[in-house]
Amino acid sequence: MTSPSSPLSIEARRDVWWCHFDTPKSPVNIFTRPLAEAVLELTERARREGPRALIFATAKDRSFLNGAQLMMASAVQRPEDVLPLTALLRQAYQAVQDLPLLTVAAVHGTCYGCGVEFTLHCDRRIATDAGHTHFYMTELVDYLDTPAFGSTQLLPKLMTLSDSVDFLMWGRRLHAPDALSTGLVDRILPHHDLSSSLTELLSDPDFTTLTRPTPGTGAHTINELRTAIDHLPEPFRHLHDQCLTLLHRGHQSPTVSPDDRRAELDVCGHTLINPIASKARSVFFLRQLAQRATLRHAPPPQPIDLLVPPDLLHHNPHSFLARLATHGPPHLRLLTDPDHARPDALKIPLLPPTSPPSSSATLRQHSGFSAHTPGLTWHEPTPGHRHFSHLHRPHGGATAVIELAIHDPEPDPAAQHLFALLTDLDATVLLSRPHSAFATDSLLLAYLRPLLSFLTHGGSTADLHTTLLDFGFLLPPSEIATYLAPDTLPPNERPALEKLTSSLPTSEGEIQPFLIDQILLELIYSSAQLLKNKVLPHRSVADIAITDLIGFPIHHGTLGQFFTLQRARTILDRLQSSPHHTPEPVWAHAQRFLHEEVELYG
Amino acid sequence: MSSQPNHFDLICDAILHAASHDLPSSIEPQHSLIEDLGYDSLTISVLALELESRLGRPVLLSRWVEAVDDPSGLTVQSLCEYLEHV
Repeated sequence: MTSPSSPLSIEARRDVWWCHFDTPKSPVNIFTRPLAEAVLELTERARREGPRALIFATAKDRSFLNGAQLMMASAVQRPEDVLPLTALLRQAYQAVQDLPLLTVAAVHGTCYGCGVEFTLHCDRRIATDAGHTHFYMTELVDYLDTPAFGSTQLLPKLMTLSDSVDFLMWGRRLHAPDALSTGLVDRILPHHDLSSSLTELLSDPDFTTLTRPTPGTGAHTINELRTAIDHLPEPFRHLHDQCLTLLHRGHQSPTVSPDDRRAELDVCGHTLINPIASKARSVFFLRQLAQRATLRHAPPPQPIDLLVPPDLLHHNPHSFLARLATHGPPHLRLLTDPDHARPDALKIPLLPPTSPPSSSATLRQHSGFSAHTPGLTWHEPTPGHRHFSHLHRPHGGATAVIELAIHDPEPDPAAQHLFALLTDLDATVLLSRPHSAFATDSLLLAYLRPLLSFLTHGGSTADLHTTLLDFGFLLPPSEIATYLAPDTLPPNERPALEKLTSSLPTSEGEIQPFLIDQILLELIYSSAQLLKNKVLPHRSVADIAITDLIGFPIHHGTLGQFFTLQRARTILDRLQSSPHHTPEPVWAHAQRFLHEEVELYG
Repeated sequence: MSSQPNHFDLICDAILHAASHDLPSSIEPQHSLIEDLGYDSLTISVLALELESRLGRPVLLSRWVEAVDDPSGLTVQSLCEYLEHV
């Protein structure tokens, strides 16, 4: 019935057709041209043979649909190019929507971008209760462009305008319960019993004849939503304003007209050719490079039992680790009793917090935790809520960052499996080798040192916040400061730290360009040192860590792409002639950096 | 390409090592990495690492990907030309 290399397999179970996505030779499903052609064939056949329903599901463990081919976006050179380039996929999506029979997207695993848009063209959406099942719109947050396949018009017909904005513009990840409460999905079903529970649901008239009330605007008015955009740095404002205009249009209209579709495509075409979108896409490539530089090929999923002492597990209920305990994928279990470990599972013990990982690493009591196994240290500097809660914080810095320090000369298989698993859960994972400190702490210090020096020498918090926002740093430095244990800093810097953590972001101050110069120098120097000392395996890993840990603005690309040697020389010249104080370590680092002629990317 | 036979061989070797799937028995300059060799963005990132280890310098292929107006234009030859100019 279906060729083994087909991206779509079809199985008739009585009068219901189960259609499984299965992109060949890929760990995730992608809506490629062959898949679009297969969907078109399927819809033609379904029209001829008339099954009662089509179920779209996945044959993969972790991915429902992770989007279309990003490289297609790179091919758009003029706004009008988006029409022919997206034509086949739009035709396939429309063919599903136009079918005169029930279509259900049964989402298990990750569902991103164009994958979400595919589900919007089905009559019903269900999500499995697996912890890794979630929905995420990548377009604005990761690529600084707008969607092309209907989400701006279809989302606000399912969820409130405020929820649509949160999801599409601010990058809120919707796990199954949130997807249900916002209206994105109609039901949550058990992942281990999907087939029979969905079959049962298909005979429930409440499900098959479901009608929805028209969603309202939700928590915020359109004016409040526009005000939030006005507070964004300049490069983002027009992009977000255009997207909000489209969403508002979709919210006001009960149906989607050809003009609505055309308006969405028109905005998409213009945003795709904006140079900031090209920079953002390059961050995506670097992210993939960083993952491959750490682990060339992900090992097949294997049962993993993390052995965790109770006090460590319950230390911070919002930590990534605690969340794994309640919402982790089925093949991962967190155990407090080693006797309960599965015989076939890879066992990774985490020792109690009373065992510090090394003399240089301090146990975190507030901002995270550390634990040590022979050969492996887990360090989670970012608070868990960054990953799992609602964030009005686009463009970097919205993911959990976890550092796994490896003490053995060769990467431990356990670390490799853990890396693959955590990466699948969208954490940014650094496999590092211990040096004088955790790599993440070094990078945090590099960012904070110039800020604290600025405040120590009489600078105002208003100027500090204004300068950071103007450059595009959207993560409040007051929050970043909490990722670092206070005793990491020398006592003379603690008053400035207190001043920083108690300050609120504002754009009412004066821009102090030298402050950005100092931060860039410190970060690039710190990256170079981490690479030189082989703490991190590849320059791309340092780059992505800075993007996700500190929120380096992706419209500049990554720090390594932004910071060329030529820029370094310009900055040094500028600092030399500046009357403002440059802290001695920053100055020394900058000189050494230039002396060594280090550049992350040639 | 004839002026850079070693460069071409080096790139072909990297292409062979980066792919985790079967490739044609002979890689030709006109082969598209996407359409003929089954590459995607994940495999291209592995290719960047393979090239980096052979060339001994950082290789960022995102600029090469962004430079074409059609993914079918991501040919072996265009990759050779890109690497000669960076």
